[in-house]
Amino acid sequence: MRLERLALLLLLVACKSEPTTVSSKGRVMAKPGAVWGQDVANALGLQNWELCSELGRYDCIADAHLVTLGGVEPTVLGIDDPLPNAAVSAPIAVDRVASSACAERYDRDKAGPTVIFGPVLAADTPAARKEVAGTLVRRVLAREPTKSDLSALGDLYDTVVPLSSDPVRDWSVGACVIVTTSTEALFY
Amino acid sequence: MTSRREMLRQMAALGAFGAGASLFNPRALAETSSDPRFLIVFGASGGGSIIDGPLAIRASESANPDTINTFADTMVTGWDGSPFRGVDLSAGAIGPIPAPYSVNASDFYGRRRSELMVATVTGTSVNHQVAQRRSITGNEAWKGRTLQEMVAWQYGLDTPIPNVHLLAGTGFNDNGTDDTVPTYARRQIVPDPIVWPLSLDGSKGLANGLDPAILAAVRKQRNEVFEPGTRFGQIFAKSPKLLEWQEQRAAQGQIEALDLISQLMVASNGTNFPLDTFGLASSPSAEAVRAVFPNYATDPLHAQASLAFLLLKYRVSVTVTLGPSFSFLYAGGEVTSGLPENSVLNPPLAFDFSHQSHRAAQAVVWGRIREVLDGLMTLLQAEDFGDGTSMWDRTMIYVPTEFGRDKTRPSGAEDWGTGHDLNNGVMVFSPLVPGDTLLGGVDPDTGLTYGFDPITGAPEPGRTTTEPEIFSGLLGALGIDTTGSNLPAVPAMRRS
Repeated sequence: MRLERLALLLLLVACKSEPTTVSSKGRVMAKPGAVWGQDVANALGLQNWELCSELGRYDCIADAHLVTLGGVEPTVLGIDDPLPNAAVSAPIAVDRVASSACAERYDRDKAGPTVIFGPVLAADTPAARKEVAGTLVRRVLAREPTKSDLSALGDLYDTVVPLSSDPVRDWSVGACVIVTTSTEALFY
Repeated sequence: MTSRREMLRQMAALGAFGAGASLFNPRALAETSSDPRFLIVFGASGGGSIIDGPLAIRASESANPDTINTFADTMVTGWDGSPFRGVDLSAGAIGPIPAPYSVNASDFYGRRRSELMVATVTGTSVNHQVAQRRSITGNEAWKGRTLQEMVAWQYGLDTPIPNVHLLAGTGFNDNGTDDTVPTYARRQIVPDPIVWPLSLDGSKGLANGLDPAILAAVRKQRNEVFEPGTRFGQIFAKSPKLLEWQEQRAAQGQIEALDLISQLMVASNGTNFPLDTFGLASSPSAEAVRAVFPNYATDPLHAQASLAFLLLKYRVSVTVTLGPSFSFLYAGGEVTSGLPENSVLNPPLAFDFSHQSHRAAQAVVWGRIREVLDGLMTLLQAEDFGDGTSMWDRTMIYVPTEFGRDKTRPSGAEDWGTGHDLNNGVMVFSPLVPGDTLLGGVDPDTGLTYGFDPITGAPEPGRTTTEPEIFSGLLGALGIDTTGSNLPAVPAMRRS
């Protein structure tokens, strides 16, 4: 009986969510664009140069938005150090790269073989979206998804449906953009 | 997200910051924002000598014409009643660089002197970076705030990116050191003026992007639901970096609503920039801008100036900072026995090439700066502000530099090397300052400038003008509220 109680107690402790303490110093660093891009490429199963290209000619991370995303360009522009503060256009550039990369992954999955979006391409159901959401969190953030993650990503579908002519694509790309451009993906 | 106005109210409630009350009054700032002044800081990197510019000394004026940096009288053009001169020069090389050059300063000063004020100044550092910074902070005269920050603060409340810097890595684009300056007034560095507009919209111009309405929904879900639910978002909820990132995100909608990806696009549709293919187009003003700055694709200074004008025209910014870099810039052309004439647009280290070749470096870089200044003034004068006045009527172009150069030369030398000298002067082009006016003067026997009475503007040999005085005088001419700053009063720099 005692052992049963102890086991129950341990189970309760284990199941109780870990309390979150707000860091008083809050020290985080932004990933340089190249590092973030590498993470996204790995997560989406793409090569770095396949993520995004401006006007079909300029690699978004290595060229067009290099400095905006925290890179340096000493040769022509004379920028020897990363910008000390986030550029006002950086969040837009990040969204742009992620939208392009996520759409590329979706289009390739549609053509097959699938890497991430297979379940929703097979059947557009809440269960399939949950599976895709979990895969996105695991692959991009390198951790197990929480209920909150799955719920936030799943709920996007209801918002997208009235706006979209292709809700499967727009939810898939949108959920991918959410995870890849979350602060958890952009900072360390 | 706290709005700019709310943030100002909170700051005002916290107490005095040594600034005029109007700077913390959102209503007052909204009024000044609708009646703005514009500031262009045109950094003359490397040490532009004012006596190689509009304060050139004729040999006949000096007791020591051979050993002081003077020019043969025949080279110098002057105008009756004007303190300014233009020196037309040509030579076969820029020191060791076999590139002939030819510059015509008299045409520019002849046309523009009515909008030019030169104020002499004696700085406090001969270190490039330090002296550059001091030229925009008045040697930290007002809590380390920069001129650009003050203009952005007072006039930029309702503009999306008030303080844009189109070059990087110089002291002219340092941040100020006063944390009470509102975030919106801090500098934003724009690294590459030609491709930067592509980063001003999350979906336009992408072959496979999301529809704007869907992207807006995605952002909302991310910002308001997904991130706050993650442990990362909760643990680092107070991280300054994340708060800054969220603040930048909050500006996304305003920036995209202005369609800046189109308005600021200088490039023309073509092979290198296939805008049409991606549903984009050049700015409606691009053709006029490209006519003035045709080398925008190859000359970074033309690209900077093009975007600078568009940023002001479309009220994206109220202050822009630009200028030549220290990088060598060659225009190209066939090399025969030497480089083609005027093919070196920017010598290595810009004005600081004066260490090797003073006269040539000063002539070439001043020539390059004059050309771009002229273009900017032309564009701004042609631009209606919307009330019958032109953009130029409310614009100031400040041309700071680090320091002057040595005033002496080997006897009779036509080209020589110079070091740094604290003594110099700065040019200010604007209808807001007294035109065709020299504040202070030059001693032709020593090449040294002297100061002026800050109240009356009368020249005062034996007095030198300080960096805080120049800083204060510029703020005054721009109508910045300096109440409580303890800056020296310099009404002489204001047009009455």
